[in-house]
Amino acid sequence: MTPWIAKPVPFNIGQSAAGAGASAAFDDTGLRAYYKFSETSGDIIESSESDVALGSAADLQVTGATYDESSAPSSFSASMLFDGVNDTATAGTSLSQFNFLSTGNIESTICMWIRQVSSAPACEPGWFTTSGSSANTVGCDFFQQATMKLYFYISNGSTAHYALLDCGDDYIPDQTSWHFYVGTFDYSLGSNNQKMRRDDSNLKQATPVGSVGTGNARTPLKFMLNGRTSSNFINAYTCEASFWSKVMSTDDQTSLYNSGDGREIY
Amino acid sequence: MKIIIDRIQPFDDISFIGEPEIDYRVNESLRIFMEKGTKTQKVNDAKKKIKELQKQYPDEKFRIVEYYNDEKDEDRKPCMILYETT
Repeated sequence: MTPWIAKPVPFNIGQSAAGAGASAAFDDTGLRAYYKFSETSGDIIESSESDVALGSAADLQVTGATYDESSAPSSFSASMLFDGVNDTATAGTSLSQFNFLSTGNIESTICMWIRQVSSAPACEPGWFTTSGSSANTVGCDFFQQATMKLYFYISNGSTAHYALLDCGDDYIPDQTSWHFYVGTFDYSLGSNNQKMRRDDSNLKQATPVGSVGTGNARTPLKFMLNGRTSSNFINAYTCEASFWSKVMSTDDQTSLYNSGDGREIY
Repeated sequence: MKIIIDRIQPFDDISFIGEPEIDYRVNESLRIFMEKGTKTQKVNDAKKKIKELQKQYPDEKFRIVEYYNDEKDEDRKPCMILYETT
């Protein structure tokens, strides 16, 4: 009699497999735009596969930036280097597709891996920008000042602003290493609606001071410059940037940080 | 690689806290490409050209850039600022 032998079951990459060393798929609910910056030429593709993905209208047209394969957090293989002289990348032409960051009842999350290379120039340039860091326009920015201070800014088109989170001097801690920044905004909280965390820690938070804006952003979403001047460029690498219309849990932030190695959403 | 002169022009601006201020931006439409000679000659000629431009546009700033942005994506390098006025 032939003894019964169990047939080996192939393991499928990406399946939930407790005890098999694989991790479950990351929940992409609310993922509007996802930029891996892993391309080697051409546009940076908007790669969200969620039901609310912005799609190809939000692909990034690259101006001058370098497709880099030499520097990235260890889970990734590539990034994009912006030279701080004249490089940027622009998400199409629509002024409205990123309005979820700056108008209405805002529930948002912005995740960015950044390796800053030089100190910031004058004129409040942003790692990303839709407002141009100007109080009399509508939009949202992560912008910086020369003291390596980072601001998470939501302007409302008046001479004041809706929300301004000042993360303090040297919140960008060095010009050599990769760091993971996550900004969240939750309109429904009674206070401290706006939060910034670096490397799964270093929490800064603030309460809005004005009224939320209406209407479209000042510019299409752009990277590594000041949107109001179309100048004042930032010298930095970036990869794995994602824009969400939901407030990401700290557990999910921890998962994407992955002890500093990073984790792809897909 | 090319050597270019950027003109950086002042303009009235509103800051993030609503304060009026004067900021500067590169006017790419006025970019000057240095055409003749070696890299060293182009840089020296660019410095001479900037001295002329400073007399003509005393409120502007200028810079000389080693420019790669029109190279193919696969071959591109970061641009470098070789000289700039204050």
